[in-house]
Formats: sequence, C-alpha cells, structure tokens
Amino acid sequence: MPKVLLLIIAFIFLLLLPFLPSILEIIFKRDKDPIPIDQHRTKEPDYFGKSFIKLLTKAFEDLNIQNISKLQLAYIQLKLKREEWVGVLNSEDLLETNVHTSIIFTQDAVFNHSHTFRRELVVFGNAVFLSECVLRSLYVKGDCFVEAPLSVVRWVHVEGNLIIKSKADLGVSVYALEVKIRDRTTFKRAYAKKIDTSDKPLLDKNPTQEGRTININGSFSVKGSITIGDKEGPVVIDGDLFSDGDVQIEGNVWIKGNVFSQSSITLKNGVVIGIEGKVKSAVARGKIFIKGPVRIYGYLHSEKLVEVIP
Amino acid sequence: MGVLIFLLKAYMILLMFILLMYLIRHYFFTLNRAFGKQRLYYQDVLDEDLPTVSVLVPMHNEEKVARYILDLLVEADYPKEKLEIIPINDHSTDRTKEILDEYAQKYPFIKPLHRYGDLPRGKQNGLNDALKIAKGEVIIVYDADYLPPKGQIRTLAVAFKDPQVGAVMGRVVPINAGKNLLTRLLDIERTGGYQVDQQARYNLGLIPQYGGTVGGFRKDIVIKLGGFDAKILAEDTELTYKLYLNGYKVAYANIAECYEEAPEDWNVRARQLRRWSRGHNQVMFKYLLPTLLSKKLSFWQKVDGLLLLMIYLQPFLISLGLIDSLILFFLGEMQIIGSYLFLLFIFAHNSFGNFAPFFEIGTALVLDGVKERVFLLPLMFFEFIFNIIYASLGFIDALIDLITKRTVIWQKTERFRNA
Repeated sequence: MPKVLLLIIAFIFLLLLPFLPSILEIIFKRDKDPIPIDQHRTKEPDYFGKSFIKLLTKAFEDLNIQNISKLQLAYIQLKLKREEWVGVLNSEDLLETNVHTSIIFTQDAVFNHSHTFRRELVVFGNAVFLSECVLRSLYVKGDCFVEAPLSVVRWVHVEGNLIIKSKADLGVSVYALEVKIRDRTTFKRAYAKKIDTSDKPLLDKNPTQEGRTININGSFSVKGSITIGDKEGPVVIDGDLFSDGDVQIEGNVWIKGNVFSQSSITLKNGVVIGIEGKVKSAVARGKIFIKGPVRIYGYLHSEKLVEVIP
Repeated sequence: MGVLIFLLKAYMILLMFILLMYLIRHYFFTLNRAFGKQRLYYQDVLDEDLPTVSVLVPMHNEEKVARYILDLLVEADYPKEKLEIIPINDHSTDRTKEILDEYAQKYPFIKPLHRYGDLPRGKQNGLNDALKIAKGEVIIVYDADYLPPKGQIRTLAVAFKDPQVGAVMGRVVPINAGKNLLTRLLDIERTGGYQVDQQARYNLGLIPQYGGTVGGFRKDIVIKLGGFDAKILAEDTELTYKLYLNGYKVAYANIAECYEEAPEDWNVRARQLRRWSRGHNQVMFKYLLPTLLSKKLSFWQKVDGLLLLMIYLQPFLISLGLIDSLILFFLGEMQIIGSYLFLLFIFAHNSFGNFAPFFEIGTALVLDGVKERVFLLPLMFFEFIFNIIYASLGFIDALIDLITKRTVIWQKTERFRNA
C-alpha cells in the first residue's frame, strides 16, 4: 500500500512539475504589474534640455536661489536626479582639464583651453568654444559658437543660435533656434527653425532660377528607392515623400513637406526641405547624409547617424 | 468504410499541413522580431500640418469607465482646433448619456452621438452613423475602457501623412494584468500578439491587422468603400482586408501603447472570444476568395492574409482533428502514412511545433523586459484548450450566420473597473 501511495505521489509530482514555476509565480506574483506606459509621453524635440533645466531650476528654488546670475563662485550640493555637487562659475577661467561635476557658468563663457566635462555643462549666457572640448551634455541660454573640435556624448540644447565652424560630434540630440553648420558635423537628431550648411540663397529664397521648373503637387509614397534632381531645371514638390528604399535628392530641389525613408536619405547641393516658419521633417531608419549647401526647416532624425559635410 | 477511413486519414494529413504552415509562421515572425530589420513607424515625423481628427468612442452602458477615457482625451496634446471627440452612446440604459452630456457642456469639442429607438445596436452600426457626422479627415477609435496617453492621437494621426496608409494600429496593454490568473494569461497573450506578431508583419510588409481600437483610418476611403458591413461583428478585420484589397496598407505603431481592461471573468472572456471568432470567421467567408484572387496583394501578403483569415478556423479544425484521431484510433487505423519520414515529422512537430506559440510569447516578454512572466507560459496550455472550445463555437455561429442570413446582435464585454 505505501508503495502505491508513493507511486501516486510521484505521479502527481511529475505531472505538476512542468507547472511548478508557473504556480510559484501565481503565488508570489513577482511580475504582476502591467507593462509600464508613460501616460504623459509626448513628442518633444527639446525634451532632454528642458527636463534638465526644469530639474536645475527646481533645485535652485529649493535652496531659495532666485537669481542665478548673482551667484558667487562656489560648489553647491543640489538635488537633481540625485544629490550631486555642482560648480558655479562667473566669468572666471576654468583651470581643471577633467571636470567631474556639473558646471554652471552664470554669464558668458569662453573656453580657451581643452576640457573634458564628465557631467552637464550649463552656460547662462553665450558660449564660445575656442579649444577642443569633450562634453556629456550642453545647455546654453544664449548663442553657442563652436570654433574648435567639439564632442558631445548626449545632448545639446541652445536657446539661441548654434554656429558650428569646426568639426563637431553633437551626440544624440540637438536643439537650437537656428543651426548653422560650416564644418563636418554629426549627430542623430536635430531640431531648429532652420538648419543650414550655407548662406547661399537656395530655391526657397530664389525661386526664379534659370531653366524650366518642374512642379509636383501632392504627397507620394514609393516602394523602392528614389532619386530626385533634374539637371535641366529646378524641382518643387508641394507635399511629402515616403519611401521604402534609399532617397537621393540632389540639386535645385525643394520639398515643401516631409521626407521619410525606411533606408537612407542623401541631400546634396541645393536641396531645401520644408517651408520657413513651419516644422517639417527628414526621417530615416538608416543614415542621413548631407553634402554641400542644404537647408532644412524643422527636424532631422536618423536611427543611425546624420552626417553633414558643408 | 474504406472511403471513410481514407477521408479521415486525408483530413489528418491536411490538418498537419495547415498546422505546419502556422508553425513556420510563428517561428518566422519570432525570429524576424528578435533578429531582423525593424521597420520604422512614423512617430518621429514632426509636422505642424496635422490632419483633422475625429475620435470615436463606442459606448453601451459605460458609466463605470466613461469619465476616465473622456478626461484623458481632453488632456490630449493634439491641437484642439483640429480635434473633435464623438462618444457614441449606443442604447445605454445606465448613466452614460448624462455623463456624456455633462462633458459636452464643458468641452465644445466633445460632441456625443446618442443612438436610441429603432436604430440597430452594435459597434459597426454606431461607427457608420458617426462617420456621417464626423468632420475629421482621420478617424481614431478607442473602446470605452481604454486609457489613451497624452501624445497618442498625434502618434497615430501622423501616419496618415503617408498616402499609402489606410489605417493605423497601436498596441493594447492590459492594465489589470495582475488581477487574477485569467488576466495574467491574457496579458502575456496580448504581448505576444502585438510585440512580435503585429510588429513582424509590419517589418515584413505583410498584413498587420487593424484592431478596431487604439487605431484609426481615413474617413474618405472607408466611406468610399461603403462603410462597415452591419452583418459583420469584426468590423476591424473587415476593414483590414478592404483596405489591402484596394491597395492601401495598415501601419503598426508598437510605440502607441494604450491600457485596456482585460476580462477578469472566464465567462466574460468566453463570450468575448466567441464573438471575436464569429466576426473573424464572417470576414473569412466574405474575403477568402477575394484575397486569393487579388491583384493588389503580393504572393506573401496573400499567404499571410489567408493564414490570418483562418486563424479562428484553426481551433475548429484542431477539434475535428482530435475527434478524427479518436475515430481512427478505435478503428485501429492509426498508421496514416507508412513512412519513417512522416514519423520524424510528427516527432519534430511535437518537439518544436507545439512550442512555437510559446516561443513567440516568450520572446515578446523578453523584449518587453518582463522576464518573470515567462514562468507562466506552461499555463497557456489551459488557455489554449479554452480558446479551442470557444473559438470553435464562434466558427459554428458564423457558419449558421452564413447559411441562415440571420441578424447579428452585438454582445458587449462587461467592465470590471470600480467607479
């Protein structure tokens, strides 16, 4: 009898064995919460800079500091995402090469020496980079001039204009009022009212160019790759362009809408995307390559890299 | 007798072939989602010229949930001058009407449509009536128990900048996942269905399905195609096929995640599943041949389209297969094909085939970063049996609908949220 009982127990045990992990999970509920969804999520191109400055402002408010420009040279402990030391400078020179804390310049800042900023760099005035610098993230309240090689790991947020006259790697996200790129620059996404690589008037500012203009009205979607660019005359497309393949646009071409590619986008020598005063986008799953004079009104986004060679 | 045995054996071979097709599909989708090229959705397109949108929310006795969804839609970041919200009050007998009128008074862009009297009940009928008054170029639909995030209308609507897109579908996530065993199983089932199945179809340019909620469509196209068929309960599946057969596509937005309330009671789930199966099979009867003969679909879209159409027929075929195998067993005719190769196939199917849907769900859970839930996978076996029973009943309902041409009546899914 005990043998039979043992067999029955063994049988039940072996029958339930595959379900044992499930039963334990049902009992202990280690993973019962719904998959998290951010109910407040919206698409904000200035998300990184805005969130950081919000944290910083809140941290200063908590310390009853209302006017940041009147702060004296000091290291203060602020509660950003966590408690951390932040260096506050006025217009003094920064002597350290390797800076391990976040740094706030309360006025204009000129970087004459090379620095590596391991944490965020904030300038509540204009910023001028005259020597090679490496940054984690950069916030500038005024204009920002890049006149020496600059490398940013995460984001750049400039409330004024961003003028790049030297090689720059601007990291993941760039936000500025206007972006002028005059040397080789890379990033993953950039948002500005106007992003251009030259002051030369392009098709949007100089529509009466020589040759017959080809006007196309309406949006279109193509399954493969597409090349647009007519050597005989300018092309104006009043609509959006969606493609499953590579998009190559070259010459006097003005696309007033968005350009979207499941592969790569190449914009060369005179292309304009968007209309002044409106936000339009060039979005690619692959690389976006920009060469020569090109202008974009709005947003550039690549899952891989945007490379600009003016 | 010999003919009967031959037919029974032939059916077993046919069933094996069909199951093999689904097996390959499961593996192919899972491997594509895990290692393949992921197709980009349109969420990164920033554009100030967004289309006008009408958000339709079908409601029948939704007093428990109406305020939640309306509050969230009011908070949406979509430009209000381009937005209208039309809650469709479909013969409600509870306080739904009063709640909707209260919101309409407060917010001018909320314009309830009250349907009473002789108007036929049902989601498809409500949507048809709402399309007559909706002013938006794009229609976005949410079921009443859904909780749309602030930026979701924009995420869904921006897809319509692409002229090829006829409809868009977001991802459904149960908010009450941890409530009980049923909701936990439904949660992981949904994860597999959206995170892997829908995304893989979108990646591969096949047929992602418009699911009737957390999604939208172009109003002018749907009106041009005759609106929704009042006799079909799965208006979402019908629209998917209508669009593809007319040269449009469905975009899948994995990022457009929205909470829903999953059924917490097995009886409620049984009714829901039976309705889904009935509606889906009605679509199958109507669109099987057009899908096969379509000149707008590629070869692989046809294969995927047919497998998707037959998805709720499959449980019925499996049920018949079980009965068939029992008959063959008692007749002593289990040797269907005298080949070791076939035996090898049976072994392989038992090892890998039965594992395929679990592999798909498991991969989805890993992608979502909820790895502990993988331990629940063995319990999916019981849900599988449950699904076979009620999906088969749904198929029989659809078959009777087809033969008798009877009027279909919409069965609403009961809500569980505490007011």
